[in-house]
Amino acid sequence: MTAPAAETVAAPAHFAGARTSPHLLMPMTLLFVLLVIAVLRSPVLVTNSGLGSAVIVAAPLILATYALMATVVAGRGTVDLAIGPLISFINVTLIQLVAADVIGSPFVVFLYAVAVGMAYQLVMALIVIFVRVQPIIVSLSGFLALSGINLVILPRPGGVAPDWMASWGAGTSVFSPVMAILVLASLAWLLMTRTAFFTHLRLMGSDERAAYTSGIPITIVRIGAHLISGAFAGLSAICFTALIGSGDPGQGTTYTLLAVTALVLGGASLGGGRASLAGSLIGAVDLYLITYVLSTFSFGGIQSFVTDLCYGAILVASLLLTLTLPVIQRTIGNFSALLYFVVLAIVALGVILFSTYTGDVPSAAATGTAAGFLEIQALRGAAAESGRDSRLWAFVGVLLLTVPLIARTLIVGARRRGLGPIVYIVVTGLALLAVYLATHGYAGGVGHGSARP
Amino acid sequence: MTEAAASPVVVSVSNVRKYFGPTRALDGCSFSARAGEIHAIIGGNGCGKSTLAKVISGVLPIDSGSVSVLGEAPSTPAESRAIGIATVYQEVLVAEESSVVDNLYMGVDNLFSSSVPFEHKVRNAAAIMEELAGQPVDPFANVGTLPLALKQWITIGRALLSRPKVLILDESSAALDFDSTQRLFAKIRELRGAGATVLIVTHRIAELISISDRATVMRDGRDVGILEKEQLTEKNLIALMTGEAQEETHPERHAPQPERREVVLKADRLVNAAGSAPFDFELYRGEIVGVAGLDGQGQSEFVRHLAGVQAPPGGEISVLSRSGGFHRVDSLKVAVKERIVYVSGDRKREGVFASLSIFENMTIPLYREKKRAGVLGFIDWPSLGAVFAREAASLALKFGERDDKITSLSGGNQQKVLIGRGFALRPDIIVLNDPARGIDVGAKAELYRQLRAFAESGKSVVYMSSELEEFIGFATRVIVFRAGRPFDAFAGAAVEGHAILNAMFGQTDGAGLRQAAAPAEPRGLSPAADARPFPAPTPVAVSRTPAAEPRRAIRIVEFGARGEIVRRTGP
Repeated sequence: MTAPAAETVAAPAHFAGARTSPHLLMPMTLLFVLLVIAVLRSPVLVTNSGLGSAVIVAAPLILATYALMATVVAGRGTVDLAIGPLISFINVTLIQLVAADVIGSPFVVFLYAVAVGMAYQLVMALIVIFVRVQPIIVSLSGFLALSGINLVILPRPGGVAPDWMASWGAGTSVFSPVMAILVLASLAWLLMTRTAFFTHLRLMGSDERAAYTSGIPITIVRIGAHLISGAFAGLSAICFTALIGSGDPGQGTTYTLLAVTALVLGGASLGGGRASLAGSLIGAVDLYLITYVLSTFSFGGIQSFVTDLCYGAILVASLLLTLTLPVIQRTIGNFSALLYFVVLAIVALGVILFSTYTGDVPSAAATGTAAGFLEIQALRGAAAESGRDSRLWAFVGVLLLTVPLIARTLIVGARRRGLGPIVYIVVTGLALLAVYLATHGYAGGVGHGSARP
Repeated sequence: MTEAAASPVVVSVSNVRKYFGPTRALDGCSFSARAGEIHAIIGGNGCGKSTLAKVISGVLPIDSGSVSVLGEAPSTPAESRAIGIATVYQEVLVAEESSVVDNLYMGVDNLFSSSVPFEHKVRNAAAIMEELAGQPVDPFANVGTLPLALKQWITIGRALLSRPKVLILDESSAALDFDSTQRLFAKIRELRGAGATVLIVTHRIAELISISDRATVMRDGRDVGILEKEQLTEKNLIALMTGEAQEETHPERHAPQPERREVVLKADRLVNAAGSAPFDFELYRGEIVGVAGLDGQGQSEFVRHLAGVQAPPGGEISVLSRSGGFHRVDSLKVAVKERIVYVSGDRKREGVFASLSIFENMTIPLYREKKRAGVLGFIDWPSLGAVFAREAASLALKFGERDDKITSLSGGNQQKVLIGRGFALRPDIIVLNDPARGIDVGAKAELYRQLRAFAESGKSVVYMSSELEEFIGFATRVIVFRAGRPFDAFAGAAVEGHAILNAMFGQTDGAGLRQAAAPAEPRGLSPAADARPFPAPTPVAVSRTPAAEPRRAIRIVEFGARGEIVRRTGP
């Protein structure tokens, strides 16, 4: 019997096909590498205020990436270039309306921002669907038109955000209203992914003809995708307004390219059908960290050029590495992205704890094998002294490590589809921790040990 | 038959017209199918059978006439799904980025809520995929990572899961091998037993005869006849499909027979696909070699390798150079230099430049040759014009202005342009990959005439086709591919439809290739009529079908030419 014949006969022993898509591997690797570098260069990042300001600065980008993600999943190459000007548009109109005392209360401001975003996207969806213009052209027209309109509404940066929003941009604590928007928006997206609507959306994005001939109402689904995108754009504009505390007709425009970069870095397919919340989040955080790391070096006047250069270089490098993904997929089959995340988290947290705790820069040998040692060292240190931030991070670290590990074993045991409930458990755990810490002001050191799962 | 005749008409199409611009896809077509029957729709390429399927499933709106399925007229796929129609389209329509479950249950859910609990979906998906594909498939696997055959099964599984009252299969077995087709047919018979109507659109005559209860034959967008089970023979079908045209073209057909054997192209230990057995091949001056096989048996790869379009996984191809001596063909560049020309029937992907003119489409490969003014490289338009005029005249190309877009031409005329492009290069060897796909009978006859003249002028032709009838009276010899390598060969009078069909289904002993094991010369040229063990008029493949037996009970072991097991299925 020849070799191929033997293979044919033996074939049914295995499942055909591979489950997970390994597109998250690159952004995750980048995330932890950047995180470690950032902490080593400037440990202030992992303090309460450091993270607080990081959240404030990164939030508009993260939400803009979510907004883009909703339409990109819908296929046809619907990359909404107008996202940046749209954020600016909502920002400047908001500032002008507040100045004219037309709107003022938080509820009305939120409603206004989200409604304007959705209205714009609805128009775009109708043009794309019924006039059958290519989405990229519609969004390019939107980009140009809105950029001009913004300058008409507010010729130069100025104005003030509503009073209640003024303190948001301070960024003194992680648990700011902006963080709440971010968490709620992420949860809303996660809930949306559990609906049949999202399945329709992905199927349509992946192959529109297959979806249409199977009876999926593609017009409604496409409009829905645009409306979701508009809502996220509105939230992004709120966070942007909180960040700058005033109106700015031009600055929002930069978010277009940043969000597209973050989306691609996060492993989304611009062709449609594939994009994940985790990927977009990590991609956007990666971009923030690149800026952060570069700001610790002093490039003087050319700082922004170097930053742009790095965005481009890292994006290209990451996409080139993505070419190796089929090879990875073939060799390791059903690879768990979560497990990879956990392993990287152990290493990174080990390095971070070690360096922030002793104040020493760890040796270059702080690799995966040494992680366990580092971690134990750090925990022992955390128990011995009562440095607030270190204690906080030791606890969060333990939580991050143990919960997914336990969850992972449960999942493998039950052969479940994915991580749905686990995401909620982790988020809830973190939220409980936050409440605990907020009420006890980090002083209740005794409770930590027993709260460990 | 009698109870089928008594059952109610489920699908009724009357006098439907559907035009795409100047093309008349359906031109007054009528059709009806009853409950509990398997009804085949057959016809030559471009006769409108796929259009008819799409009209019944509500994908294409009709221009005039009426369509009624179970008393309703679906106008969108969503409506047709609600009526109980499930269609498996010719294109393998799957969402590559999504899981197997999501693909199988595509379109089942409501807009926001699932209509079936997810656990049920997973269970049913795993069950139906194992039953259909004959191997377990992970329901959560990304469809993009699966092989084509499994993707095809997903589209079929999707249709079956909707428990259709009317199931339409439009060339759905194209990506499936023989065993899979049998499993599909078993499923179809099960559906018929449950009272459903199954419409099969196919060009595989053997399959059609084995499975269907009735057949409607179409030609030029019209129904030209209905054959009951007893009348379903290849002869009747072909007579209806071709009409009178065949009678006209047949007498003038004669295959070129070169007097001496001079090798112009040879392949040594060629491997078609990773894992398939190596083989040798020689092409002689002045012959037309037909290459046949069921879809996906390696014949298409073979011609692509010969033409240098695609590098073979193993082995070596060399061509007799004009300067004497054999040169290795390891790239398209060498192939072009050694005057091997490749013409593909896949016009969209490997043929036309859709946005360029007819003129440019024909003369584009000559731009490098017809240059003036040295380094400036101006193109010599007048001499190209002469080439165009000559080729257009000799191919009897029908066109308006030579600067019209090529897409303004019909498929057959587009193909003529591509063949003209090949001839314009003045090749020694022309390799054609299913060039007659989608062109009409008249254009085909013209094509044969051209190629015969070409071969008789001392050039060589390799002609791959998916339609057997094309080889008869045309090819000097025919090589039938199976499992990635030549399985049998026919020459001279043995080039005959039934024998080739039998070989395609693995029903011959490979006598024509018996000596192929000895690496020197493939003697596929013996007058092989005596060597054909199955000269039966009905394709024997049919008799191998155990109609109602459960799938697991079937065990098929196939032996290759040297007695090795080629394939084994069943327990």
